[in-house]
Amino acid sequence: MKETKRDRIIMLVDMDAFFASCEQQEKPFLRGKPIAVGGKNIVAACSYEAKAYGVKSGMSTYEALEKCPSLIVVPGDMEKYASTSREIMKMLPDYTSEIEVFSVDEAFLDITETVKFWKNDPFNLAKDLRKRIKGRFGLNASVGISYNKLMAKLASSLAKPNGIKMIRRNNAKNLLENLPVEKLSGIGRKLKKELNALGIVTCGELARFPVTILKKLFGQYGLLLHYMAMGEDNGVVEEVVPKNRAVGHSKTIPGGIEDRNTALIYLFRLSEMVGRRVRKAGMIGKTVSITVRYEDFFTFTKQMTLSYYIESGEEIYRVVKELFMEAGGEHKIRLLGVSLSGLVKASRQIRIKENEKAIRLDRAVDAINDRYGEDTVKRASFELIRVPVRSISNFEKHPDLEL
Amino acid sequence: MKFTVKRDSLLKVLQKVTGIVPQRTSFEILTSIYIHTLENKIEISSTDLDIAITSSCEADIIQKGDVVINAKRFHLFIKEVFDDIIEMETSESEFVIKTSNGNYKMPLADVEKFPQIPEFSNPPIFTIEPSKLIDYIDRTSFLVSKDEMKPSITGVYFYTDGEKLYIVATDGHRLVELKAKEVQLSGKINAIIPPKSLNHLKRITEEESINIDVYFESNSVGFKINGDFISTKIISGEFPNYKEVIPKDNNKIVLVDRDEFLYALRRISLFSNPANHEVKFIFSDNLINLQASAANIGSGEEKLDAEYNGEQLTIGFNANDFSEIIKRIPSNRLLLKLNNELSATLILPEEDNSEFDIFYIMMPLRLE
Repeated sequence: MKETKRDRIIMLVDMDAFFASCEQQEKPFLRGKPIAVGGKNIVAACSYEAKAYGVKSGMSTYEALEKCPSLIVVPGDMEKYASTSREIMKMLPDYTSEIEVFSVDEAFLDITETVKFWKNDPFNLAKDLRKRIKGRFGLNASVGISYNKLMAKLASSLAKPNGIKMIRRNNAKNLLENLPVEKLSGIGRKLKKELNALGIVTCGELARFPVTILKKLFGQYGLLLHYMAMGEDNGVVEEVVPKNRAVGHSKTIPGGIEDRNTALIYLFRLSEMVGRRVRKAGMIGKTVSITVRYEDFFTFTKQMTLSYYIESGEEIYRVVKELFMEAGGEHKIRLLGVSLSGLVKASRQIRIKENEKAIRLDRAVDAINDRYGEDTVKRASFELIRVPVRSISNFEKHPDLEL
Repeated sequence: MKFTVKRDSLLKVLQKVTGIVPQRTSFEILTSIYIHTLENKIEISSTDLDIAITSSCEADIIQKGDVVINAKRFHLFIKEVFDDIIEMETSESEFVIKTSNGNYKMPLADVEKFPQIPEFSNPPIFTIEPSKLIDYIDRTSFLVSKDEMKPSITGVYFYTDGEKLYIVATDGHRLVELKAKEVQLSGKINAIIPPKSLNHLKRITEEESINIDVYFESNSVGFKINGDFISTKIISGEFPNYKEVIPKDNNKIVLVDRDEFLYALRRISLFSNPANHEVKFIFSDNLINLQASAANIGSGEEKLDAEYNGEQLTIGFNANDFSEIIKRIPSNRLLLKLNNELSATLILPEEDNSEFDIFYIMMPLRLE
């Protein structure tokens, strides 16, 4: 691939052992100790101290304790990690406006235009950011810097733990030559196996492998693999929304509820919260899902995909109500959840029946809440119940959580 | 039953009636056609319970009778036969087809089990030239909604107000009303017709057809085209009172060449966000400025001459949705009536038309 313009400078900020570090930060007695975040059965994340014993995320808790008998297992608290993550992400606009939050603990920054404010040295910028994250949250972040997202991601994995690594275009080829293919982001265990079976172990070998065969075997992804092996990636740093991403809220109801009308009030409220967050992100979606969990832990989920995009709480609720009719009513409900997926970043199509005043009002309410905090302005029926903000699905379902 | 029939005329009939035969169904009988003999012709019917089609062709009837046989196999078979005339008869419990190549037998299904084809006892509500009706359908039926939660707008609404016939459709953010001024009414109609039925009507209408008689009775609508008949169930429920949403105070008037506008939109749409084809329409002194941009795609801008002398106004539209409308406007210049960036825009032909009046409503995108 011939470069016709100047290379960009892309940075990946990646929190080190994020979930475990959050726990250690909150509970000082856990610091310096091998800990795992997870439940009775499985390790969701672990500290570097635990990693030294061979503990890995995804391992069964039993196996992890075998490897490291002193392992302390703490229950996970997604809400806490998500809110810490949001706080960290809020610092990023101080460094550039081109930010792509890649997962709960990593974000890409395109610093091509802004590096001049740090004496044209990306290291200066990276050091400053790392220092501020450490100072405010006590957490370590690793930074990878390179000429595209793929290589920045690779650089950050080489920088771990707690370091900065830069890969320049002129040394990329050497580095890739003997690098095992699975080190590249986008080549998982299954693909690695398939490539290995073709006798491809390193990126150098992948780059030299005939493209026509790769294309035959993997379709368009084959061509992409070829370029990836050469360290090429033309992805732009932008807020991308994967197709399956959802914005959702759920609420556990203390004591449970039997009355369906009360449940509908909760659902209305949750719909409004989802709508608000979707609008805040400048997105619209077309698939509405609900979750109803009963006292006996039986969980009912149902979704509907519309033929048009929506963003307002009322529109979400209209579908939610419809979906809720199909949920059984014999047991007490202990949890309700609403989410919107099939999200895209685009302006919403106004519908014929909407009136202009309602649209302007919606905007005004959003603006007030933006300025003075969530729930400064809200609907009267909400006063009956308190539903704290809690996000689901967004992070929990993220396939790329590397902890 | 025994008759001989011209292969080509039979094939033509089969092409018309087999289009609605369901591929998969739990009612086995629906995969069949019903053949009925008349004085000197045969009549073939099919139905999927929503739509029923009957078509006929000349035949030499030697012995009268009714049979029900598998639609798809019979149709495929006739396609493969090249005799000019084919002879068919029932023999015991089989349907026998005699050709110069050989004889073929098909099992008979129970005639009694074949669903009743709706019949209309009242005279037609109106009669119209096929080309006109199809033209009206083309200008309206693309705007039906796919929203299953609101079935009443998933069809094309035909109604009469005592004087004229109106055809209305909406997909929730666009709307069309066509008023057929020339159509002479001899009754009332109030029916939401599924677009699928209208498509089948188009399919079986031939160029040489002279007139279509339109019938309406309680929950069905029927169309008689020469010797063919198609009837359809209508969608239950009431079509929303759309008159309420027709803007009345849109007083910013724009006149623009339809084709220039259409081509500009097609070009610029290629550079818009694929999720909603957002294009900014900036109306200023005798000018429409069109702008689009999207990440990883690029951007585009075009300026078009137009007649406009109101204040500057920026409205976002889905360019593809907009193009679909303006290519159906029957005039060289379009008339746009605007209000503001959040409310409905009216799109009309500049010149009046003696045959029909038409207007479209288009809602904007909510630009951030």
